[in-house]
Amino acid sequence: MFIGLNETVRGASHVDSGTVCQDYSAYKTTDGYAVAAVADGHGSKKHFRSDFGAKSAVEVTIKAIDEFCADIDEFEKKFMEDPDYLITKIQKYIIKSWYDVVNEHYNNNEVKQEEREKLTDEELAAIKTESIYGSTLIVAVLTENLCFGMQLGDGSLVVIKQCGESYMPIVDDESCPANLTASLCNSNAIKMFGYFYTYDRPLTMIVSTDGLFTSFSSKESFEEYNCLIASQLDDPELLKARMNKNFVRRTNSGSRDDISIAMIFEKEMFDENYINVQMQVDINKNKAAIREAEEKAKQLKRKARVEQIRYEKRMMEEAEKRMLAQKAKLREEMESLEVEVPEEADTSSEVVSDVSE
Amino acid sequence: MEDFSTKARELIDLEDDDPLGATGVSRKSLVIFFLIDTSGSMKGTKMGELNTAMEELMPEIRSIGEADTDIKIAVLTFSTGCAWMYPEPISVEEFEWARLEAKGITDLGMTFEELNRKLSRSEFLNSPSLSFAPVIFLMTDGYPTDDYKAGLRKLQVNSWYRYGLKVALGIGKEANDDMLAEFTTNPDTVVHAYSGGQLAQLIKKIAVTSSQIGSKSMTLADDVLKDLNEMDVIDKKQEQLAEQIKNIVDSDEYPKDVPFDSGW
Repeated sequence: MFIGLNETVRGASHVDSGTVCQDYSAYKTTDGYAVAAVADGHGSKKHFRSDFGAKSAVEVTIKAIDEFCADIDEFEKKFMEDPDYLITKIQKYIIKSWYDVVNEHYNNNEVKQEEREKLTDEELAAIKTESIYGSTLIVAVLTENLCFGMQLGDGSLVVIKQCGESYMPIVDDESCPANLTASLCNSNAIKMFGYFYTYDRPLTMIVSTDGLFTSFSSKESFEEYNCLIASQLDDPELLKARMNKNFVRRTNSGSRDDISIAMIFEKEMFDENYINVQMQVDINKNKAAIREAEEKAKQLKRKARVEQIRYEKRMMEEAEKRMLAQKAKLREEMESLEVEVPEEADTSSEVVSDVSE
Repeated sequence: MEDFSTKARELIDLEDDDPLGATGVSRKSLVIFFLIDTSGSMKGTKMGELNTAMEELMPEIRSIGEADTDIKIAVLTFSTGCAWMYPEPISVEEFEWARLEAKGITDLGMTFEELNRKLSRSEFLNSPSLSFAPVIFLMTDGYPTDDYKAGLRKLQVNSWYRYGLKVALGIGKEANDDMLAEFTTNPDTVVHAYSGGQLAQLIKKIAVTSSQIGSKSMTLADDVLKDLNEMDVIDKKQEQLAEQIKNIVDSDEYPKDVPFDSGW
């Protein structure tokens, strides 16, 4: 039996500005498959309907998987014959369906003054309809014999293996540095989709929007967090409540962005491997403690280095002072002996400058 | 959604041992790269002023991010070869300036190559909390002694460099503005310090201003006139920085003290 779980929390920045949540998450489970999807609407002036865009992205995706998996045996057979072809076909179908939905929404809903804010007619006309609804999309699909994931834009897909280890199969290729993301509304969206598949049945697949990922200091700690979530799937209702509480804390103190998550797993598989994920959580705790200790050691090393530099500088300055005092004393002695002392340029300021370097 | 059920709240209120509650939260972060010329020609007052200005700058940068943004600092010094002050970007809260010494030649091309290596998700920009393209601040008083164009060509294909906010400070009259403009890709984000007072003020004001602009959220939606691409967003930030630099230099408070080349 497949089980799913999802949660979405409005970002602190949207709460402060009184704007709507632009994330959306959902899942669907049947006897033959499970699908989880999250989407992050771009927000801001130009994408003023991206909340609808994100919701549509998730809904058309679930509908698309539902249609492709209508005959699950046939789907798995075709998938195994040519997975790349089938995944690309699904992606194209999702993009087309999304374009249809948002265009229909646009045609049936005149843009209201409060939506467009200060956009002039000319400016509004210059914006592509799809851009108004721009959104990312991250999807996970699980059947009895395979799983695959798709990602367009920022966000994360984490796979928890049966042994309890977690990994992120879709690699960030650095094509979109910080704060800039690919989107369903891009004209070449199909080329921006990343995907993966495997026939090793996972314990859980978890998709989340970037508001969650960006509240972590390292990829390792984010993966471990996903493992921690997986370890609590024995009580989905309690986990959902805990995630909500934790996401509120994460958006308030961290990313300030909306946070969404959705996950799918097979209950029998989870029950069989529950102990593995519990053990992995313990291993991760040790790993985190080691990282923390290493970080503290680095800080101490840096401080020691700076202290050493300061100490050396102080010693040099003191030596300089002693040297100048000695020089002055010798000068006085020479003068008292009525020896002619040659005039010399005052180099003290230059010496001090050198020391300060 | 956030209006989760009373029952769910009761569940977690009853549950003291929430494992998710123990996980750490990171603030959004921005990395500022300082590329600093420590060649022999910087010896004396230039280096002394620079060291002092950088020491005084750190507390000022600390106040920029405040509660929202964690600003991290990475310092790459160059003379005969190049070296990082610390092996990774350090949060400005913990950053300790290690005073620099001047000697050697000006291997800027090699420096660009080293910067290119570290401007990567697998190197200095590996934190998930990194939310903004980096700020890259170059300071030099002369002309490179190696093939800087070869290094710059490698840097120019690095997305992080392309999307980063770039600014250059020429120190003294020997600094070559054309070369610096090649680095920043915009002559208006190149500025010149001809005296110690100007150097100290420019380092502090430019670093603070570029950090403020760099850490400002600006998405593809901020210009509604056209379908902005990533470069448009960065160009807008560069424009803002150029304008701020002009304001700094035109300000009545800008020092008009003794030029370096007669005073140092």
